[in-house]
Amino acid sequence: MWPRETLLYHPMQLAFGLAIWILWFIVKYGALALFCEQAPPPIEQGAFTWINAALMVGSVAVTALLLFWANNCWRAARSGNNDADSEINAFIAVLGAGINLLGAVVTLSQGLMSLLLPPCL
Amino acid sequence: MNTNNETRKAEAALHDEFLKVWGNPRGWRALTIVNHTTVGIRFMITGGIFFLIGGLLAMLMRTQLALPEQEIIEPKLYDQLFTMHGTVMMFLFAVPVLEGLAMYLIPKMIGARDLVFPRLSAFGYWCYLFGSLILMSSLVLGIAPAAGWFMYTPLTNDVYSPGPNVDFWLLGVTFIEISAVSAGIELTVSILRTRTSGMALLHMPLFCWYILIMALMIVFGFPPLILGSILLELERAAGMPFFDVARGGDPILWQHLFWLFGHPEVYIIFLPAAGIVSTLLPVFSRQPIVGYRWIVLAIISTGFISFGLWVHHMFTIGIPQLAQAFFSMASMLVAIPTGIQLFAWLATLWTGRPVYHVPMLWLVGFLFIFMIGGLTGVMLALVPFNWQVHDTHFVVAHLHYVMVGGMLFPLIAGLYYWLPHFSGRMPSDKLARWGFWMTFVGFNTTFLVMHLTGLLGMPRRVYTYPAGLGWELPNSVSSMGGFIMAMGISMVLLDIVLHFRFGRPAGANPWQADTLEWATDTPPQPYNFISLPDCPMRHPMWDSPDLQATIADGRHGLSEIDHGRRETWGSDPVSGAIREIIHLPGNSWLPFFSALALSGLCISLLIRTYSMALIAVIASLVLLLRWSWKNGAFLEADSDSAAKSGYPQLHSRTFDGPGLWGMVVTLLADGALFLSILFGWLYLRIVAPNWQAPETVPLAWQPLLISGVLLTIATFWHHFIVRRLREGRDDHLQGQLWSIAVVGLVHCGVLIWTWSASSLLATQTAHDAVISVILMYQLFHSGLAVIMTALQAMRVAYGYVDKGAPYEIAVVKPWWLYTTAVYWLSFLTVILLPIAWRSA
Amino acid sequence: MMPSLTLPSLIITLSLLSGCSGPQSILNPAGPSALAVSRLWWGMFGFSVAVLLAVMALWIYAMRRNPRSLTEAQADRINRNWIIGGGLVLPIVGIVALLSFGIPMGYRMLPLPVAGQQALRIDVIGHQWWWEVRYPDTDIVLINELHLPAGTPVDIHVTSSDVIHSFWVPRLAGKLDMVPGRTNVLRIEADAPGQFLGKCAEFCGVGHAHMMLEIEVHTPEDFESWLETYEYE
Repeated sequence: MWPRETLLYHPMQLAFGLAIWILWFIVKYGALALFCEQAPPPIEQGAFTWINAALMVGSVAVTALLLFWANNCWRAARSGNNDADSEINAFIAVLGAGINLLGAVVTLSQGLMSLLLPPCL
Repeated sequence: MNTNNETRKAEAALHDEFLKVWGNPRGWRALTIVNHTTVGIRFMITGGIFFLIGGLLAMLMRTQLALPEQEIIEPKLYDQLFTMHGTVMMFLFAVPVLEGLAMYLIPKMIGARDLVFPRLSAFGYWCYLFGSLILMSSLVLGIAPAAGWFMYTPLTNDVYSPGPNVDFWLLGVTFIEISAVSAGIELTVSILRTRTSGMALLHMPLFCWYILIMALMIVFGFPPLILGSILLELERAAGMPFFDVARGGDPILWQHLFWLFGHPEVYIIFLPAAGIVSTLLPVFSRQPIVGYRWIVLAIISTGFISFGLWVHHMFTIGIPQLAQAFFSMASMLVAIPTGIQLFAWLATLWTGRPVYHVPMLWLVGFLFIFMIGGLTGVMLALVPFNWQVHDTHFVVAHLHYVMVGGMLFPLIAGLYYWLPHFSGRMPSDKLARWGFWMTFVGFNTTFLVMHLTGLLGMPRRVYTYPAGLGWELPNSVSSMGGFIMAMGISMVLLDIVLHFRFGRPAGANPWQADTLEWATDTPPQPYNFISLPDCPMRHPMWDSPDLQATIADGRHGLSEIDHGRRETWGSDPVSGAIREIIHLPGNSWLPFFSALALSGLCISLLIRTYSMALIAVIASLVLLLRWSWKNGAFLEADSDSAAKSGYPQLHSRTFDGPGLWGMVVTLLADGALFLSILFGWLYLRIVAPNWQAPETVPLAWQPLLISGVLLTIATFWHHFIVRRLREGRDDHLQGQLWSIAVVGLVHCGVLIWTWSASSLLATQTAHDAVISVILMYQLFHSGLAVIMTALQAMRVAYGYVDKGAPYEIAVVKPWWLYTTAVYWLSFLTVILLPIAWRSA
Repeated sequence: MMPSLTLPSLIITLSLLSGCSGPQSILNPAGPSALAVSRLWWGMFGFSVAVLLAVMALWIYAMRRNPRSLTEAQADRINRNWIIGGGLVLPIVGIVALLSFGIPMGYRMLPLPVAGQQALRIDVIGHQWWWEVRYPDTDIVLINELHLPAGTPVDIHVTSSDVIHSFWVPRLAGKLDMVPGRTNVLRIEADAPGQFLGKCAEFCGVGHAHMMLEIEVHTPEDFESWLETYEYE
């Protein structure tokens, strides 16, 4: 197992949060296309369909996950020692916090759209 | 006095020694040059010429549109003009020029002597040049592509666009994209692995961050279009119906593939330009950039988000509005990273003490124009507004504000800024100001009014328009502005040409800049630096102003040259700590002739002479294999002259050299291509209106399973060999490599047999066509894995590869892994998924 | 120096705006969808001009001002305020404002079921380079002309027989692409009788520039009688 700190300081953090967002976006977009093709809900339901609900719940879950990681990164960045390595670590962890946070913002704001519009029209 | 003279003499002697190893040949042999400075300048000059050609095409269009119902240019020609204007500006000017600038600057900024794969830089240039010439020849012959730079199907298929016009575009642009992707790979690896000692990620000049993200975006963004072009060319030439509705394809698939590339492309162009702004502003504000980490955050997030908004080019094709809203949201959120950068620049000016030089003028022009482009961009992201103005002149105005503001203005600012670096001379002040104001006024006159033209309902891509719709006045204003802008650009050009002759000498570091590229000679020597300094800081030239002198004295690292090798540091991607010495290859004919062979392939496909194409393929293969043969453990790099004591070893003695990084980044691009194929497969399956899937999967799964197992065995075996090499054991290495190649060959054989025994009819349905493409893709990868492994076995026989120099075998390993992963992923989606689908 | 040059171009633009009333003009709406978009445009235009002028003014002031010397902490605070204020707050406020207008507006433009009545259906098929207009349940087939009743929501079902075209009547509503193999539905409505112009908006080959559609909007009663007489003929 990797120690938690190593993960939070890993340069992968520079891409992780937004990569998760992209993956979720692909899943969301694909699922929506699939369901609209296979079993479109009646138009009269408007935005109150179970596919909208599922997309919203998924978005909130991904957002929560990303916020959790952002918080971890942020705290890791704050807790560094003062050796040469920890300057780099802190740099990566702070950026990681920013990327995770931004990923959360984008995920949530896209998710909110599914409260407003009918899925397949 | 005397000591001074002696140091100078020693310096000159060292310089001569370096030049013997690094010098550029003249005459015909100049075609062999691989040095990044020369290649970068070649890219920029060639791109500049295409910019002028593209501008000329625009002038012709503006002449035609100046008045209503003119017949100066007939529609057939006009369609060629706008298609080629877009294509030239995007593919032949914007991307190559910025790549050229990056190639020129990056090694100098990170304290390296050359890019990490010098022959690849040269190869990229030749591919770009030959591809562009092929494409431009169509314009001269009057058979240029005429279906718009976006090449929407079905207008571009062989029914509605017979003749070679579209083929020129598909083949030429793909050829040019090879160059872009190779530059992307090279820049990524160079920035990550060849920074000078101690330059950690957080010390990198911001320009390098911008270029790193741009390079990675090229790596992920270009493959979808490469795939799309291949598929469309297959449809045109071989009748495989990927985009034909009647046979189960879908024209919308093309749009997805095109814009999956097309939107990131905008940011691929914008990011390096923003990098120029972030480099120049702090220098002219005389203080470090404000919010370094904020800007890095903005760059990375721009890179990612730009891949999630391609559908905003397709808001009017009838996608459900909820799906559109996702993309609309993402398109608007891009304003956040852009806003962060804008205000970081503003803050830098605010707390700095700005000085005024010509580049600053272009930066202010950039801000104004780009702001307008950005604001109309946010408007266009709003779906209802987009439905009205999409495909009108409003969008034409918007995209020119974004492109000219976001790319051309910063580029010219950068050009003026680095002009003393290119030539050692300063530009004139007066002519430069005239050039700026003419361009600025001309540009705004042309395009500010064009927003209105669009709002008055004038669509794009019309060669003429009737009088009486209110479009006459704005169009003639636009045409006038266009000519003012053309004059401005020619003044800038004149200024630059004249400065080579009349500019006053610049001296060292004329702008008092902070980054390492100003520590080279101006103009720079091919080796950049005699010695490579430690650089654990963001502003080396501000922190130690005598750096140029101490570097030239040879007082820093790696200043030995008596071994005759071109060397630069290989360092840790995060901390910049030195890991190895990278031995760079010297000048070579191989890049030139490989590109020539490939352009032969391109031409023979264009004229559909497949026997000639076969010859060209074989020629390219032989040349490329020869290239890989003259690689890695160089003959000159015999072990006893390996390295001075205290120095790390040569990269060919390691397992983790730049070649491995190059391979992995290449596979990322390759993976993006494969994912695009899978996307196409699933997309057609779900939404193609007439998707036709046969009752049973047309391939026998049992032999496929056997073939896959064989491939997996070969991969594991190869993995095992690398592990033993790491343990320092190389007994039976040659025999094992041969055996792996044989296992791989059997795997290919089984796959080919299964294919030929199947009932696939690639020209009948899109279903069978996509499966055929996946099979071709797999065979290409498996075949190459076999060839590379056989080549390694031969190199073991020659004694180039062993436990002392295990580098190359480690480079091949990811290819095997990737090939196997692709195999099983394809098996899953092509064989298993449909079965599950049907039983569900 | 900047504002002195932007001003003339703004004046030129504004004087041109007096001519927004062209027969193809988005800014001269004659139906609910087009009206909504034109209002949206004016709102966004005002907001954008304000943002542009404010940022330009700040930028030019920043270049000219004579900064007092700051401690590092003071400079940091100023810098952070700029980045957070301009880079985060400004775009987010702008986006929220824009979407709170835009999303409901887009929703209303959808071909939703109309309470109490059936939207009239008309099929339009794109060809290189002409329009085929069909009225379902009748035998009427028109070429390059379209007749509509005023004040009634109409669903235009668009498709194409060859390449991609795009159906667009700027004064009535936004555009919708006509894609071979698919049928898209565009809801349009004209406020009052009159004549309008439609134009193919997606590049469709050599004849693209001349692919025009003439639209005649009648009162509902006239439309009914037009339908009958036409069918009778």
